[in-house]
Amino acid sequence: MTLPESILEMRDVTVRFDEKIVLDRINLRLGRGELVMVVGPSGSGKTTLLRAVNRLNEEYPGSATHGLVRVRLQDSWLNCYAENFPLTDLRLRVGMVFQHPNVLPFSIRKNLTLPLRVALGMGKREAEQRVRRALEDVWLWDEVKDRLRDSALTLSGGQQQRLCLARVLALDPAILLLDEPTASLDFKATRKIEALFQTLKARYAILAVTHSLSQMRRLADRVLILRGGQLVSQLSREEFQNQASCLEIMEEFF
Amino acid sequence: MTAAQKRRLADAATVAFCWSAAAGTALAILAVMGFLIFRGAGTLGLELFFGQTHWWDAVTGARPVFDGLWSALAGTLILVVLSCLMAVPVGIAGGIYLSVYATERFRSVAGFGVDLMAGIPSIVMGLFGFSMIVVLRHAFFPHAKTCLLLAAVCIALLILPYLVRTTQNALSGLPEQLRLLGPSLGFTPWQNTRHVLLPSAGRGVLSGVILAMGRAAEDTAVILLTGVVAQAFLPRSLWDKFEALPFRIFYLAAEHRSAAELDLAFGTALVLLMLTGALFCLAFLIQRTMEQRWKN
Repeated sequence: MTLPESILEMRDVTVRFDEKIVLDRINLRLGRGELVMVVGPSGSGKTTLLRAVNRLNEEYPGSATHGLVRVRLQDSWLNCYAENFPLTDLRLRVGMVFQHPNVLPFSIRKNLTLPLRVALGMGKREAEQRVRRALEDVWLWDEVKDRLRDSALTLSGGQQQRLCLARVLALDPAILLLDEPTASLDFKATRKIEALFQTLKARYAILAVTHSLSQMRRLADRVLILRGGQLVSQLSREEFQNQASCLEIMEEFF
Repeated sequence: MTAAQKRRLADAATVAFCWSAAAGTALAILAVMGFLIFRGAGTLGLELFFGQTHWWDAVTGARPVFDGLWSALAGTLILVVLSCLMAVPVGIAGGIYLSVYATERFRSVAGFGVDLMAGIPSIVMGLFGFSMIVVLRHAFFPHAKTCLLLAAVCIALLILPYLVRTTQNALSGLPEQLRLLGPSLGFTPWQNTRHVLLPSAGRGVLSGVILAMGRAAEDTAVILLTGVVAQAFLPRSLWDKFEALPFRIFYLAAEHRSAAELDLAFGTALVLLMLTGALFCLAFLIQRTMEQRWKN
């Protein structure tokens, strides 16, 4: 199997919180247009792995990251943990969607324009255009175009999560980090978001975390299995599509 | 008694206790208000405010008010506004610092200091202001005397810890996901605080401001030693002596010679209550307006 050109690499990444090792010598690569899913039991370090990419672990006291995390932006490799790589730029290029819909208690429009105007310093008109494009990207435009001034909290859970995704897409990232983005949604909303990711993965490199094995089988191009902070196995699409071998592997690692 | 019965009984007892505690609180408030209104409402009128002076002359400052509470009302209002102007920005900024920027170690040390400060009795704060004037007189300004500005500074120090603590708690109490959101979207810590955290914690911050305003309006011990007098007319400058409602209530009650004079104290208390109520409404309106602006 030929792998697509890499856009994200982690080499020997170890993350500690107050001397407790949460991630242990992680090596992974993510290619353009690829959707890689990380699965593993609770507490195996899945969320920490995602947050090691956009350095969100540093928002907590006592975190320490060692090893190399680099992203390829505009045809050059940038070391995420380098002194001269501005944190805010990294986080604009590496967008994250959280486990629970994380809308701000503002209007739908302001949820999208706030980061554009604050983090990118964008003008009002340009921001409006981006808002429309981002909402169309997540199939939300038709549902909300007449109520952009309403509070985002009036949307359903699935709509809120798509709004959060739109908020990230509006910033024009290269890589998406998805932290169990359908964990709090019902069946129908989950299917819609999954279909959305299918279309988005052509344009973005996606690193996602899930604990749903069926979701993994529907969406992933590759699967990484995380246990006790270590990557213990890697499965290709053929391997986890085969139900019998998939079950066998899961029995072994969970 | 079976285990299930015990559980039910414990449940019922908790409900009964909580219910009676809430009812008791409401009853106590109603009793105090009722008593104030019963004794004081009769005195409410132009004469309570302006004495024998015509109200227009009093409001424009054309004539002094001798036996009304007008000067005390103005004094307390200026005192509250001044001390809040000093303490609210500093207190909120301090709370933001402790919650967003400070290291764990500094947070616990400074937090202890803030708690210590909140525990200082107001008479000690008054004494501090008073001794400051004594020092100033001996060292730099022989003409320094207790005044409105000094009282406002001391009151500001008194209410500062409430503002710091409530702001810090309101910000720290926000859910973790919300606190991570700003950084994940490329916001700097200040952008995150300004655009995400503060708007979300607005009501918590407001409750601190209200608490602080109430404290500033009612405190008597601090101003007693820092410039309040029984008869001063309207303060002409920040360096002037002043009157204040809580002190007026105190001396009316302490030196009354008839029931009618004591009723004046109740009337004054009622006015103080209305003044603080009006200030709370103002703070609430300001917060609501800001929230609306933030939301759209």
